[in-house]
Amino acid sequence: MAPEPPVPTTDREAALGRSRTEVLAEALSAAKVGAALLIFVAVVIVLFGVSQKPPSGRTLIRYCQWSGVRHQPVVWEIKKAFERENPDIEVKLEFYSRAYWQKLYTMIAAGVAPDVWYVSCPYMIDLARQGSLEDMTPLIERDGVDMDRYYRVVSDSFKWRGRQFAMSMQFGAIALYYNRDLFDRAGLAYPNTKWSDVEGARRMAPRPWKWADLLAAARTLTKDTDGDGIVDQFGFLVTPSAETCVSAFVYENGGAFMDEKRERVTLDTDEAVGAVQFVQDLRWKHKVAPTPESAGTQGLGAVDLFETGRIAMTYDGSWQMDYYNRSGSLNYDVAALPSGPGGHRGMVANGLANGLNAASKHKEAAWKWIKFYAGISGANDTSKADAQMLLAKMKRGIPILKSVACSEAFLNPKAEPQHEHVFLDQMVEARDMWPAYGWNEWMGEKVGPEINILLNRGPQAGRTVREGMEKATRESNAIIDRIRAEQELLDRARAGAGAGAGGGD
Amino acid sequence: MVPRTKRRLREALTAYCFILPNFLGFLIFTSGPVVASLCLAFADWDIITPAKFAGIDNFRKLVADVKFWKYLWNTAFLMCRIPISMAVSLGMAMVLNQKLKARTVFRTVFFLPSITAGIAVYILWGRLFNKDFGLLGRLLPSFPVWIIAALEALPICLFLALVVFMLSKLVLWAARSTRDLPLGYYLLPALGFWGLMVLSVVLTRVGLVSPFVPGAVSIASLEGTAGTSGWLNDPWLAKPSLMMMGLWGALGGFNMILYLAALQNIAPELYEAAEIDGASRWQKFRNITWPLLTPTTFFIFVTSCIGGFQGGFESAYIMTGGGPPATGAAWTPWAGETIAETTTISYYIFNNAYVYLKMGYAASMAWFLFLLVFGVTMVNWRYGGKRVVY
Amino acid sequence: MSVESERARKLIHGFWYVFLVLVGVTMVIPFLWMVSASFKPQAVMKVHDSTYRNWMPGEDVTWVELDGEPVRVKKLGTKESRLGVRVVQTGPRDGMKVKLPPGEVIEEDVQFSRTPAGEWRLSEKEAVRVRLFRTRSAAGEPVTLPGHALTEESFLAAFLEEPGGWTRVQEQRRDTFSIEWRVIDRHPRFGEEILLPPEEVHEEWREKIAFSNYTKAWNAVSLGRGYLNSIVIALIVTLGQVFTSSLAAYAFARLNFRGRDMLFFGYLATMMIPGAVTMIPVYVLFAKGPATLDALMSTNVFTADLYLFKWLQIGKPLGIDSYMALMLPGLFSAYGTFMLRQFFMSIPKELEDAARIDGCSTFGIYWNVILPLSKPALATLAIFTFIGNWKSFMWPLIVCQSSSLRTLPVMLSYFQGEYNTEYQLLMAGSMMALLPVIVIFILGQRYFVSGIRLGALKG
Repeated sequence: MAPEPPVPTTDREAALGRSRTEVLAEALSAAKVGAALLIFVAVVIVLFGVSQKPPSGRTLIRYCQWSGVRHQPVVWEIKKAFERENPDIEVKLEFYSRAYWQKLYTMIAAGVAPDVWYVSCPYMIDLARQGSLEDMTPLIERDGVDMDRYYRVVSDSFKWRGRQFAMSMQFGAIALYYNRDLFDRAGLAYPNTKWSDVEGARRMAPRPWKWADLLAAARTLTKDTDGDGIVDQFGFLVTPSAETCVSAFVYENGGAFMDEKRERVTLDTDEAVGAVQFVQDLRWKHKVAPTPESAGTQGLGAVDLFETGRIAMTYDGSWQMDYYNRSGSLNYDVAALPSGPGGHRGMVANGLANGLNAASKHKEAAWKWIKFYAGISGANDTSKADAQMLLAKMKRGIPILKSVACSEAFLNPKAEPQHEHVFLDQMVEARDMWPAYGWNEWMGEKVGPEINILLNRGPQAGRTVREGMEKATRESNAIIDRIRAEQELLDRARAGAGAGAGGGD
Repeated sequence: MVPRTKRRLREALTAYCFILPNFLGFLIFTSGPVVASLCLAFADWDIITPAKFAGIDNFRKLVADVKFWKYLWNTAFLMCRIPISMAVSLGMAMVLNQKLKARTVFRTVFFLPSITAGIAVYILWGRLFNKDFGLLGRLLPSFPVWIIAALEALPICLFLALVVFMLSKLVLWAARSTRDLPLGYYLLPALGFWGLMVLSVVLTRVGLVSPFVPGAVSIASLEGTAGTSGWLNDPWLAKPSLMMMGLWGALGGFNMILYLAALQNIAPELYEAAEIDGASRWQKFRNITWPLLTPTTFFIFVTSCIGGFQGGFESAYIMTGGGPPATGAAWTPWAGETIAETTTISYYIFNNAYVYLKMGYAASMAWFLFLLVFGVTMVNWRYGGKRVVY
Repeated sequence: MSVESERARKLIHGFWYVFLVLVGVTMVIPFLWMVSASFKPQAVMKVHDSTYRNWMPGEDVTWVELDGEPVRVKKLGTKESRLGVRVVQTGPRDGMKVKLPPGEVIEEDVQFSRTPAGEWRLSEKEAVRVRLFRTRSAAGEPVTLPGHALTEESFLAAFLEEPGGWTRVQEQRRDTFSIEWRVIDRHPRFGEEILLPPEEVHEEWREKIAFSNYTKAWNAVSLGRGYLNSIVIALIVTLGQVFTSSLAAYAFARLNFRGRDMLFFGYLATMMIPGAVTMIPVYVLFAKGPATLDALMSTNVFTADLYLFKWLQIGKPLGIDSYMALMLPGLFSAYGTFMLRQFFMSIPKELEDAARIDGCSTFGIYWNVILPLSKPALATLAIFTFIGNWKSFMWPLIVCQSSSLRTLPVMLSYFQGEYNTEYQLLMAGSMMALLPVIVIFILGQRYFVSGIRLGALKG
């Protein structure tokens, strides 16, 4: 016997309730019929429409990269050019955005990593020492690839224990960016570029700049433009980033981040301490650079400050050119980095490279792709260098092939900024990005935050620059030692197990 | 009639069938990985090479790691906004429950933050908070000192209020009393302490150094007006900023919808009966609405606690770009190291797992967190479960 | 008495309206910024001193007057108190279409000449591929059309340099039959550099609403496919989750069996583990799963790359880079089970007893009694699940390899490059991603807030 329908208790319910339930019931049954139909149609489609892709007969290699929307088209063009040249190879492009490393490690752990992947210096060492990256030295020697065509500083930074583990294709360099309008208004001479002038005369300082010149110019350019008592234009912008800003100062003072063999952090030397002290003073003693209290420096702020004309000078990377060029009214240029009081110069060139998966099944094809990206067709032919030309046009980073970087493809005199060649000229004094054990860990946990504190808190940091740097150096070296010890164990295990391809899963 | 045991068996069998689809998923996608992560917690794994057994090293490191405890503290702080956001959601649900025109429009507008992709929301707020071009950021220097001080002191006060609450519950439980202290007993100390802190900051500005608020000392010694570092850079304003952002999202978010659905299910006859008896609005709320909402409140509280412990990941990940945890790096008295103010445990676990490649350590932290949350939920269950009216 | 209470009611309502509007406006301000940012032209997002300029989409324009018409320029340096500028203006112009017939690939250059009437005519050679360079030519001479010469703005635009000026062409469409080029615009003095007294160089701010941001965002990450993926996955996961959760919740709420409470607590416990450490095991499961299944059953179905009607890629059937991987972990939810359990426990037991007396099976009770009564709760869970799935980022990011399987949040993350974020495109994309959910929410409100009166069953 069916249960009795609910008895309505109020008049309203009597009027609406029954019809409402009826209406709902109807709607529900209609929906049920509709859903069933939909499912049926879907099943039919799936059964008859789904098919496998017929094998194309080409070798498929997978390439992954971290690229935003702006730079993905270049890679597509490079892929098309490569496939035209090598019709028997197909490249599948996989772009992973923010969580690139997380995704890559996950894939390595599961054994499904792509054939070629894009590495930067800090991460390459970990992958190389654990055997995930293929040693390219035999391939380079076999094909007779001439590495001197490249900027060795950058391509050598992807070596570990003397063997090449990734092939660099582009890099970024640092220079002094300055706002021409602000210099004009103050009547100052532009920082010099030291090298030959280009057409369209520029007012140049008579001799190369030193720190004293930088400070003097910054002082003149720090002012209160609207008379409200608060300084709103600063001569210099300090970014507490080790790679972009602080390292350049360290080198300019004659110090170094790491020793020659990349085994110890050397930030506790007098020169390094002096450099960091100078940077800290720019903010807190001379007050020519904004502190976190006077400027929004959450990563959003720094670039915008320069772009809106509140900062006259800053150390910044070549990758920002593309960004600043899009601005409607920013009139900027780049100049050589000044030298320290002792006349030293230096900056960090950090490269990006392509690495070969040691577990790849198509190593030859992948090697061809890697070479193509670095501008080599065939065995050792860099005459066409399509990929490098495309990189140059898109300003996706400085192409590593010297012939392309110094050509008009990259150094377009008709495009901003005027003196891009400064990036290339400085390469003679460039240093690499310290490929060292545990870089992420000690940079991320010890050195980076320490520099952050010293620069952001200044006198309230609670310790002197020397104390801070010594502590950071000590702890970083401890991390490096620990990882080196682990590596020695790993080496011994591998040697004991016989020559193998490494411990990758 | 079917014999009792056979019926019980059949009931059990039916129950198992009902649970089966869910349970399969649970087994494959959750319990398996959970067991795997437990194994990882006792190992040393850097993802690329095979794992090595490491005993309880990870846990030992955990106890000694100052950063871990600091981040746990941060996470607990940020969770203190839960009572406020629950109250706010309930309030909004009650307001929107009335027969106002354009209810749908309001509900949709308030729900917008919850449906926007996280990335956009965080970038939005990062920009809003920015000192130079953010709407809020630019307003900050013009806030009077005591408002800023009030904001800065807020997390601590909330935290203390909760501590007082829990202590009092403990005391009552120990005394085997089932009494319930009136609300004022909890609010008063919290408000009092808040006022004290505000006062101390203001006094610091005037020149008297306060021993209670170390942060106020550093703020006071800087030139310019208070809060000049901006919202996210000031070590004391950083967490209230995140709380504000969380509150903005909670105003019309999921919790409000839950409350709305629950309110809709309260029969109006109950209210009518109460009106006939001459009950005031507050009495109606206290005696009808609140008790009937207890299942929902309980659910929301438990899930908020669980979620709260794991929260803060996206804000750290997106606003700091996944880089080293240094947002608003501050010097705190108990460590000579740099420890961030807005980093939460969840982000630290992620960093350890995928950036420093210390998966075993990350797993041990995750399990520690799990035990903590489990304990808190048990307490919630025992305590709250008794007071829920079905 | 009733007139007064009427007025009081209206007053109260009025008060609430005002309150809601105020709160609403405050809530909406960040979204207003989002909308305005999505229409800002793609020059870098500047900060201005005036609030109007910060909110209204516009751009800074530097212009001079040349030959009687305003021309946009870019500032260079000063020389002898005169300001150097370079003409960047390309004047407004309707595009002319140029069709080139098909040909076999490579190596040859496309040549075409300009007739006196202003048309472009193809000359003898037919070719498809063109090379990268520009040449000067006298009027009427065959000109080589550059192929992939890059400009500041468009990757696929080409510049044609000719005496007296530049013509910009853009590749419109390329298929087996032809390449269609469209002349975009031309200005007589593009690229020229001039020295002028500074007073003659004007800098202004002009309003400009860039609708193109939306189309650019759409194309840049193929949002259409993202929509399809997100909707399909979210729908299926929602249906599945509501179904499995309601079954399990009913069992936990009403049925008695051994280990019920322990198991439920176990469910809750799964919500407490941070995802970072459980992601890899699940991923490995999906990674190794298909290969193992294939080996077990000696087929290659499970690792095959599937296409619908030979055209639409739908990934693998199982394993990473498959829709299954995106959906399966979401079909089970402790949150949903918990929520529905609470709700089911509040349904009066008398109903079930009544149905059981009438001989209903357990499933019958579930289907005929409990489910209809819990429509608001089910609808609420459905909406939460849908939205949660729509927004989910980490898991789809890890699991998707092919671009054709990506969901919307993953696609939106591509607007954040390594060094800077494309704000305008990101905001435009987010606005587009927001729309369907708003629609579903508005429609769904009818269900979870209309509620079916439980009181009807009492007495």
